[in-house]
Amino acid sequence: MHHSQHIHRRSLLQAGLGTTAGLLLPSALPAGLATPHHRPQARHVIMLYMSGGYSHVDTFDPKPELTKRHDQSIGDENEAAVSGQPKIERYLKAPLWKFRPNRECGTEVSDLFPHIREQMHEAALIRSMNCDHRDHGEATLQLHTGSTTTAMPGIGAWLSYGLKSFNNNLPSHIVISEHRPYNGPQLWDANFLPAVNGGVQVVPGADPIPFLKSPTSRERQHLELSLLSKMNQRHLQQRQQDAQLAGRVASFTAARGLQQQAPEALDLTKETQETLKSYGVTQGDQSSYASQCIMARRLIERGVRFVEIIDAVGACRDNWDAAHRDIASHEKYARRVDQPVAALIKDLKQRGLLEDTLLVFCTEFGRSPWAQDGKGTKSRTHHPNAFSCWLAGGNVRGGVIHGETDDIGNYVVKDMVHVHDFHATILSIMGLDHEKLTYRHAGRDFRLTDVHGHVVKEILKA
Amino acid sequence: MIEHNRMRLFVILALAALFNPQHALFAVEPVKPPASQIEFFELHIRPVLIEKCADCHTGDKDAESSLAFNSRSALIKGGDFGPAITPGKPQESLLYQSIQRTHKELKMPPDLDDRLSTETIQHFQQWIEWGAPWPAEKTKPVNKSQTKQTESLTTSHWCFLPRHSVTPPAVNNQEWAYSSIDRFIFARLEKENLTPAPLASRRTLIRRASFDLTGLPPTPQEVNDFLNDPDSELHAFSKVVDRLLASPAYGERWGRHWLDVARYADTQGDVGDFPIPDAYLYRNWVIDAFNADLPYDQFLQAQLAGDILAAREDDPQRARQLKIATGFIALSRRFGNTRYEDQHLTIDDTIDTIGRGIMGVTLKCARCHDHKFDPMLATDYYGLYGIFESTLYPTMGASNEPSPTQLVAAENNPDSQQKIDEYWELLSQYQHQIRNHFRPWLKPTLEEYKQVAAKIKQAEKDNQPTEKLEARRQKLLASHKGKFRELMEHGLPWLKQEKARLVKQPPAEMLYAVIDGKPHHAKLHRRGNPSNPGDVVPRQFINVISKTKPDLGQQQSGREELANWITDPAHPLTARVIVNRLWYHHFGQGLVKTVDNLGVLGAAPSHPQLLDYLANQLIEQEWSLKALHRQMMLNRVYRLDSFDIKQNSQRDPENVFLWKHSRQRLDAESIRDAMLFVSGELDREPGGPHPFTPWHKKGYSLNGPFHQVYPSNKRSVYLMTQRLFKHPFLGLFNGPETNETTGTRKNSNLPTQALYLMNSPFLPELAEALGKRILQSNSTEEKQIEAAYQIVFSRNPTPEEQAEFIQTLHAYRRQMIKEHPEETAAANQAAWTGLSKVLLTSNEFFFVD
Repeated sequence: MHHSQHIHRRSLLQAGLGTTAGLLLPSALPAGLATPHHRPQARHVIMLYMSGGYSHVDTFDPKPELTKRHDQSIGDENEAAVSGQPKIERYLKAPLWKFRPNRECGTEVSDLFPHIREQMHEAALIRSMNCDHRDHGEATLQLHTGSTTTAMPGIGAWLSYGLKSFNNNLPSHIVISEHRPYNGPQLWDANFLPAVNGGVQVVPGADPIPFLKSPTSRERQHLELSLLSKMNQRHLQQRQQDAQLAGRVASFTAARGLQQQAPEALDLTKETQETLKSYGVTQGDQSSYASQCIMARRLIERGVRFVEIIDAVGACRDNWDAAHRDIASHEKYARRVDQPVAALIKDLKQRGLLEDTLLVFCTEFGRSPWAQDGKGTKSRTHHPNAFSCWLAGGNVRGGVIHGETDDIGNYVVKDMVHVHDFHATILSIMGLDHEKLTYRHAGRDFRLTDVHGHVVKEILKA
Repeated sequence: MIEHNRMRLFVILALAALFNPQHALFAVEPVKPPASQIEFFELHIRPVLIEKCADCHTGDKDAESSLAFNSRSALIKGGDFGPAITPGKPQESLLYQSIQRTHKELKMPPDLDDRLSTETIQHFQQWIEWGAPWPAEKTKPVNKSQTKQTESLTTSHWCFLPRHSVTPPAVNNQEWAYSSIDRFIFARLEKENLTPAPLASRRTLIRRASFDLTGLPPTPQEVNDFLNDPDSELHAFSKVVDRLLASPAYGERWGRHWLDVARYADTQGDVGDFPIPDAYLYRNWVIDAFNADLPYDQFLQAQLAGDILAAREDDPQRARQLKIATGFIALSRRFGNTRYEDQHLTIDDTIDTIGRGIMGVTLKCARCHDHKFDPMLATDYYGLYGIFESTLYPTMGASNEPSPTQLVAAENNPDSQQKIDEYWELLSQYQHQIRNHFRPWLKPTLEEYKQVAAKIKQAEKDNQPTEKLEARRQKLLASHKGKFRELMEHGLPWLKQEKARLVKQPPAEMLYAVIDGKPHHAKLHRRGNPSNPGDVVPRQFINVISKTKPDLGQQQSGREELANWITDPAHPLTARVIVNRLWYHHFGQGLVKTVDNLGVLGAAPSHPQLLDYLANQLIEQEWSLKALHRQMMLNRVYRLDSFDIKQNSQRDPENVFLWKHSRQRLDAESIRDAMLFVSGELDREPGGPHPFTPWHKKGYSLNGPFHQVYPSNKRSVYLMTQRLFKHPFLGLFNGPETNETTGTRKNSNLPTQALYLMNSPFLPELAEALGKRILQSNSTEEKQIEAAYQIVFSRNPTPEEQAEFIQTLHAYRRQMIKEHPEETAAANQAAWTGLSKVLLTSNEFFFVD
């Protein structure tokens, strides 16, 4: 803890907080809880959301039975299929990739993730995930907000609301998403929480945050802003330092901070060759998944609370979705994230940031243990009954496996972790009690976990 | 393989029936279990039930869970989630799943530290496998007559009680004795020992009133006229108020306030966020209703039951307008990717909008259980639910079925409605075939049909009998529920042609509105879960407000009766809620601060008597909102200035007792509209329909949801607003929430807003127009700066401001010439653009004193 506090102070100084903190007045500051509910295990979250639903039985949940019973029938589907088409007979399907153990902890991961496998001793793998909906939109909304239907504030907004930012020049909640995900900005919208907790979308590339660049020369912008500042100051003085007016003045100061700091935070040119190489970033690359992982690290180093990276587009044509699509397409998406994610773990560890930072590797649901389109076909359908996600860093127990599915990966048979439980656990690691983190709206107190949620204590260090 | 499985299943079922005491008979009267099993129960099961479960599962009426653990039959009867045990089947038993912690919601005991040991869990498994043996029960099995009777509630919470007849208090101050509102306010200020602020200047006042009533600043001419009006303060101001109330901009401003309540959007909110091309008709109806000062009771009646009222209306235009008004219900939020998916949530949105929006109570809370704080029962909720389950909602389609249904005939002719329904049914059928003709599961049928059809042709040619073939052909046509008949008979090109032909020939004008379906009572959803239905609940309103139940048969949904009940002058909520909403918009906070919730968890009214007085006045003045505006503005308290008084703000920092006017940031629409207005760029024409792609040319889905921003210089109320995506400007400046009813705006100041104002291309465009306007208005720089301040701030600059402005203007010009030496002529214009931008983004422009 001592060590991480030291690191933290350093990052705050880098962020220049010392020079601006005093200028900000109440209404420009995040309205959140001043202190966490209990001693936090971590200070930042990097959520790595894999869009489309990766197959648990091809990645993190080995089922030799599937290989043994490949092409065997387990009867007709018992639930209506996604698109309302006729029920099909379910023929089991062997995973396409071999599973091998991590050398230190023995956790088995398939050859889709050779690099991540090497880091599994840092991660608590949950093989008993479960959610409430079998469609992407609803399940993705639930993974982020707990709700499958009505839009609610997302986990990033709740964390930002509960904990505030460490750096007033950067938003507390940033979402790196090259494309439009399922449900669009509803995933990071503040909804009924104070607007300052809403996520700011970063689109990696030339113009990462909208309106970051001045349309005029620096000198002219300076002239404009100086006059604005003088006029606002006089107006403020004449109105007895009204806090609302001062808050708006402060928002301009913060915007100038953001204008200066955001490009620097997202700029990888200062990274060493060694670092770039470990992630797999090539010269000049400012937009690959690998460079997004470095950006995430740079953002949390500068005090951002919650960074999410959304790996792919919210459209089944080009993400982990393998419904009516060859499951072999997983290869493409795994290759994109495998090395960078493993490098992120190593990099954070090497910098002493891993115990302060919770990594959340997740997806909206799993994939069926059977072929979707009949015997011998290549696709797997959506599977909300069971899937696998993992947490690393943030003082979670490394190398453990929590929960179990049946011998074909169809149902959870031990220690089910519903998405609500997953959320409760993440909040708990961040020092927040999911039952106490509430916001009064529409006549009652709302929670991220609604009326559900149990903290998965087994994966936390005592 | 399948045969084999089926055989095995049969054997298992037969065995189960023989040996498992799960048969209903056993559940009521279990066979006497062997003594060894009873001993096992007493040793391993009962102590756990007592120690770990019985504290909460008491079986008492007010227990947290309705599941009781005091008898075997109680466990079999179960609780809200269904039976706790299925004797003989531990894996299917909720009790077993919950102690094993593999159930989604139930993990028992709730605290992880209390979890049962693996050994204990095995005991339970064994015990349930045996059929859950329990010693002879003395408790009688629970039966239906014992279930909870409908309670009759009473309440002492003010909002549910009748309004008082109130006389304004006498005050010993001439200045504060003129208006009734002032008397209430001043009496309270005196009581609280707060000194009211002085009156605001005319310049402040006209700016305040203009933004307040129209969402736009006054023109320099209007300001001058008011400043030079020799009439008394109040009389001169009343002329301003009357002028503003008569302006069409009034409806655009106050209609927008109502559209917040009505969670208005131009899209449905489903995964594809389908556009609703006719939503604008409802929007414009609301604006027109405000401008025409349609009495508020009629305003509500039209929105809740306009279609029913229209049937009795002879004038076709009026009938059409009444139907359009039901857009209030029709615009309820949609979910998922099929039509009417999660319809219970769409109805929930309707009930919530009526609950919080019209009545100021959180009826929605009674969906899953009786309201925990307010005197409203789940039966109240499902009483209303039945009314809307008996109502037909239109849809523009869904991602799996991208064509409209249940649109409503604009004219009163019942034939038209039938034709419309048939029209969409046919289009829907054709659409389904066009979209699915290539499916692998359809292929064998299509191919066989082709062969059979060819064989028939051949047989006819050869003069062979065709009966058998014809029978086969008919069978194929009827396969897949007969949904692919035309595809087989006529082929795909014909279908496409027919669809195109139908699209061009709609049978009549159609509206996105509601009408009655088959009136019926709904079943209660236990825990709000529609797949867990409870008893039938007769359609009714809120019991605690009126004990008399409406007599709703199979002739009417009950919407008209609901509308009449809500707008009955004796209704305790309706008038109070709208008075409070108006007050909120005029004074920055409601007399009840929580404008959408007057219930127990809402705030207490700051001036309860004034609230009732104004509600009574509203009804006396025949529900005229314009009369209410005049009353709220033509007094002293509205005209106070907004400067702080230290002694007051220390005791009443939020100005609850109204000793001054509360300074407000402009809302999103006013910011944009005022910027366009002062730049001379605002298009004042009312908005019409949006340029959506016609429904038959484009469908939407989760993968490709509808997302458009249609640029326009019209007032913001006319901008297309979506449910999935926020408008880039309005969304950033805390604009309307389109997904649920809201009565307040949170005007936060965010760095991202400042960034937008500093760097977006929108500002320079407007600033350039404003700069040109100023340059054209006068020839000298001093006069130009005066004009700029007049246009933007409704006042003249001080000498200090003049000097500061000129200095920056010159510096800017020099900088421009330095950057672009070849464009000296354009430098002045550029400098004015830069400085106009400063004016438009300043605090003085963004806040109303």
